[in-house]
Amino acid sequence: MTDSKEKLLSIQMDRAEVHKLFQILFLSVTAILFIWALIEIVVHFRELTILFVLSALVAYLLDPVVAFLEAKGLSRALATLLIFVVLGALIGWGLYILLPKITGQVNSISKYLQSGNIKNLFGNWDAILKEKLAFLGSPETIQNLTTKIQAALVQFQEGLFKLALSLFSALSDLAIIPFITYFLIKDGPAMKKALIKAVPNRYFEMSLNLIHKTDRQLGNYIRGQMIDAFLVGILSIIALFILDINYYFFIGSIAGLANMIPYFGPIVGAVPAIVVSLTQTSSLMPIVWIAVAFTVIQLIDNVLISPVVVARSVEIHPLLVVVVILIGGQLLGILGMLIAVPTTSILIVIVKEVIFGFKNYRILDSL
Amino acid sequence: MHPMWSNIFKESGNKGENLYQILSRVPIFEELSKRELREFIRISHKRTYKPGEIIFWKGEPGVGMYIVQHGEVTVFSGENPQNPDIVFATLSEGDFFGELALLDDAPRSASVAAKEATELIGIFRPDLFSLFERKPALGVKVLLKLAQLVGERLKLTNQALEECKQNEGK
Repeated sequence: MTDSKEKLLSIQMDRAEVHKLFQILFLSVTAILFIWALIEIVVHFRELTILFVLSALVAYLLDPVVAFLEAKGLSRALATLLIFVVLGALIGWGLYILLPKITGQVNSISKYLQSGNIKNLFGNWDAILKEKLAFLGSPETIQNLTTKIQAALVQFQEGLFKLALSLFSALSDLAIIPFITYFLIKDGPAMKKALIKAVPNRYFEMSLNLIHKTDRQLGNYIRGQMIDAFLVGILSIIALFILDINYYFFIGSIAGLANMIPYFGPIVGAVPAIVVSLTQTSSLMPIVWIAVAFTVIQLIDNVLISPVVVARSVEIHPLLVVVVILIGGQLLGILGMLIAVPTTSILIVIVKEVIFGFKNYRILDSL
Repeated sequence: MHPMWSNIFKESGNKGENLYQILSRVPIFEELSKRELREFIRISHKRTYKPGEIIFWKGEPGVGMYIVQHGEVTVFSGENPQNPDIVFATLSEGDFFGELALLDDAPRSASVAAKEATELIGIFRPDLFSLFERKPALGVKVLLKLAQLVGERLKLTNQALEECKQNEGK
C-alpha cells in the first residue's frame, strides 16, 4: 500500500517536473522569437531605428538636467522646453562660431576627393616605402607590398571621408531628432507607465523592477560614455592641432566618437590622423608623434576619465564584446557598433532579472 | 457645460478626486498638500484584480506598497487563498499594505489575495526614489512619516511580546 502511494507520488512529481520543463521551453522559444522579431524590425526600419536610437541617447543625456530643474520647482514640460531653448541657442551660437571652420574643412575634403589625384599624393611614398622595406630582398615583393599598402590607404581614406560627408549630408534628416527627443523626455515617465499598465498582474512587480534597472543602467552608461567621448574628442583635437595635422577638428571629433567603441575605437580614431599625415608629409616622425599623442590620450582616458565618468556597467567578457561589436556593425553599421555594448549589457540585466524573477516570484505556478 | 462634454470629463475628474481622497487618508501621505499628492498620483499604478487572484505571495521580493481603492483583500498564510491557514487581516477601501517594501526589498512577510473584484493603487520603491531625487523635501516628509509608522509598529510589537511573556509567567 505504502509502495503504491510512493509510486503515485513519484509519477505526480515527474509530471510536475515535465510540465515545468515544457513551460520553460515555451517561454524560451517565445523569448527567442521575440528577439528575432525585434532584430527583423530594426533591420527593416533601419533609418527610423537610427533616428529613435539617437533621440533616446540625447534624451538620456538630458534627463538629469530635467530632473535638476524639476527639483527647482519647474514642471517637467517647462523644464524640457527651457532646456531645448537654451540648447538651441547654444548650438546656434556654436555653429555661428564653428560653422566656417567645419564647412571649410568639409569643402576642402570634398575638393580633395573630387580632384581625383589622391593616388598621386602617394607618389613620393613609393620611394620611401621601397627604401624602408629593402630588408625584404626581392624587388617584386617590395613592389607588390608597396602597391597593396598604397591601395589600402587610398581605399581607407576615400571610404572614411565619403562616410563623413554622407553624415554631414544626412544632417537634414537628423532635424527630426529634437522633436522625438522632446517628447521622449517630456512624456518618458508616462510612456513607461503605459507600458507597465499592459503587463499582467503576475509579472507586474518583476517588470517594474526590470524596467527601472535597465533604464538606470542604460542612462548611467550613455551619460558616462558621452562625457568620455567629449573629453577624448577635445584632447584629440588639441593634440592634432599642436601636431599641425590637416582637418584636426574633424579627425579629433571622429576620434572622440570612435572612442565609444571598445577596443576598435582608439585605432579607428588614430588611423585617419596617420593617413592624413601621410598625405601631408613624407616624413615618418609625425606618425610617431600621432601614435604617442593617441597613446597618451588613451592612458589619460583609461586612468583618469573613464574610472570617474563612465558608470560601472555590466562586466562583459572581452570576446563577447568583440563579437557583439561585429554583429552591431553588420546590423546597423557604425551606430550598431556604438550601441552594441550598451545593448548587450541591457540584455544581460534583463536575463539576470528574469532568472531572478523565476527563482523568487511564483511565475511558473501561475501559468 | 454640454452634457456630452460633462459626461466625457466626469469620469476622469471623479477618479482623480477619488485618488486624492484615498491617498490623503493613508498615514504616510496625510500631511501632504494637494500639489504634493499629485506627484504621488503621477507615479502610482492602478491594478485590477479578479476575486481570488494573488497580489503577491509570502517570500517574494517586496517592490512597493498597495492601497485598496475598491474591493477587499485578504492577508493570509498558507498555499490556498480560498482555504488559508491563518487570515491575518481583511483590508478594504482606503487600507494599505506592503509599505515596508518602500524601504527595502526584503521578502514579503505574508501573502495577499483579492477577496472580490478589487482595484488597487500601487506605489513602488524605484519610482518613489526617483521622485525623492527630484523633490528631496517631499522625500524627507514621507520618509519621516514612514519611520514614525515603523516606530509605532515596533512599540506595539514590543508591548505584545511583553504581554506574551507575562502570560507565560502566569
